[in-house]
Amino acid sequence: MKFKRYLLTAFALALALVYLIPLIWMTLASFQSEKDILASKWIPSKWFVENYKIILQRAKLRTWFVNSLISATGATVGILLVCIPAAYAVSRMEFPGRKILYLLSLTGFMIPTQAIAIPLYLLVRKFGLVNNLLGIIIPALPSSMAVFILSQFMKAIPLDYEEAARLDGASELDVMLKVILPMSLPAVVTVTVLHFTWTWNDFFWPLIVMTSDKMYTLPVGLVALAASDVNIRYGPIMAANVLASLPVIAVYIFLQRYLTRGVVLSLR
Amino acid sequence: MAVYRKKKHTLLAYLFFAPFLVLLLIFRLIPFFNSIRMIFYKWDIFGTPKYIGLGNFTRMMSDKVFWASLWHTVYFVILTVPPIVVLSFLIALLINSKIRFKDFLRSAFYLPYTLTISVVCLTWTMLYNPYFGMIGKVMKFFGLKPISWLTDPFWAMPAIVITTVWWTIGFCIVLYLAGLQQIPASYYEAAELDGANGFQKMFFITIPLLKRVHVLVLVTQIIASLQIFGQVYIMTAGGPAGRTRTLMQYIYEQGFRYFRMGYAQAMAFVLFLVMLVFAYLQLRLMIASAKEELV
Repeated sequence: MKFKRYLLTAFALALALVYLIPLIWMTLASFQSEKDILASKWIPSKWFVENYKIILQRAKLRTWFVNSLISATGATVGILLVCIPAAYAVSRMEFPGRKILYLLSLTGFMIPTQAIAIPLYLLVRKFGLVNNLLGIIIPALPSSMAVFILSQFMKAIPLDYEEAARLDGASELDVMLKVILPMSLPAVVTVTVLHFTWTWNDFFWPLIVMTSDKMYTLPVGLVALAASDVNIRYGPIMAANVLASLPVIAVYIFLQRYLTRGVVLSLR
Repeated sequence: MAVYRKKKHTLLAYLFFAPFLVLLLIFRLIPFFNSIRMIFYKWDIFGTPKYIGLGNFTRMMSDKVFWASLWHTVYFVILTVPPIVVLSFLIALLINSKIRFKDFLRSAFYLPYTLTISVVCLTWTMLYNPYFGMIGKVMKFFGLKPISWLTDPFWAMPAIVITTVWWTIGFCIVLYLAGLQQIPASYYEAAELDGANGFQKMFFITIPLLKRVHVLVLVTQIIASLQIFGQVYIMTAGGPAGRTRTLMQYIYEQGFRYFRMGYAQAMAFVLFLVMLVFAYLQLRLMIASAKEELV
């Protein structure tokens, strides 16, 4: 029995290793000279840090990084600010029309961005938000997914906690911010991780809204760079890939325990 | 007094909901209704829109590129969704079995999903390179003839499919793991007492009890795959000879390269109608799980 367990573990680890080969190669290639890459080497013959220097000297790459950081952070914070009160209202307050508003908050699931990309682009253009990070941030704010995950979680919190706080004279705002919000932390973290990575990784919408290369986000910029610049070939692009991946990997490693818990709970 | 309190309460609830509602109206519902109006117009963004009734649709009917793009989209869904469902289920089973390093394994398989589409596609484009790509090198090692994946009309779409499956499977594994953890161990113990073998436990307990997760993974992946754009845009730009041009790629070309706004939106509307069926299923599933929670 024990032997079978070891065998299965070994198989799983081997499978994971094979699965991760593209990422391992990406990291190794970022330290290879063009000659090594063209010779299909796994291990660099000389560890070549130039790739990182070349790519970091690119002022635009830094700009794109900052653009991505601002839009992902801005969208995530904004989503929390807008969706937490909305989720609290539909899950913990009693008022006429509650059910209708709850269903309305889920209509976003039925209308994907790609289906309304053209009118949405025209609207954003009308507001003068083309080539503006707000053009990424503001349309992202009414997130049905965020309201869904948060309200699902908030619904499950027993009424007793709230009542105890009310007896102590807590206002509705106190109950939301001091009782329900801290208890909903796994849901808040789930929403944060999901929306941060989704905005950070989004390609389609920034490609449409950002027409000036100074306003590109990292994903759009990387593709433009790989397609346009003949001086920047394989090695530096792989170095840029590694650099672009680090922030989301860090966010994931830091918050993964909460994430799985949050996904489990919202699936329940 | 009680009535007053209740009124204040209601007002406060509306106040809490208002910012979300206003943004939802402006950035989802109004564009949605505008999108329906736009499909009856011919408009190149610079001039004034011209009403042409169903003109965009008659044009679509005779547009060979539209039909090819629609087929490529469906073809992509057919090639991608089954392996995603099967592989993520199998890998989740493996991680959930009695093995060690579970946390590490879960993270390893989730890792690619955290990466941006550009990183994924640029890396795979180089792996597929017929001259120095690692896939060709491995194929040569096994005595196979390397394929020029992304420029071969037959292999270009499967190449995009392989990349997509690799990229997205991690999220589905997490969904399956969440589902597996909720099956009570007592079910298996009872089955063992009745003399059930592993095969029977799999087909009479595990697979049926995960029905909701199967449907969720299936539906969300179909919706995601119908919208495929980035991989095609980055890896092949629709080529070779338009063989990987999907509907979203064609909509992008018509709308944002040639500024045929009405025509592009009419095609987006067709895509929306196809997605609507699956989006409705997804919503039903989510509301069902929400109701169960209340019980």
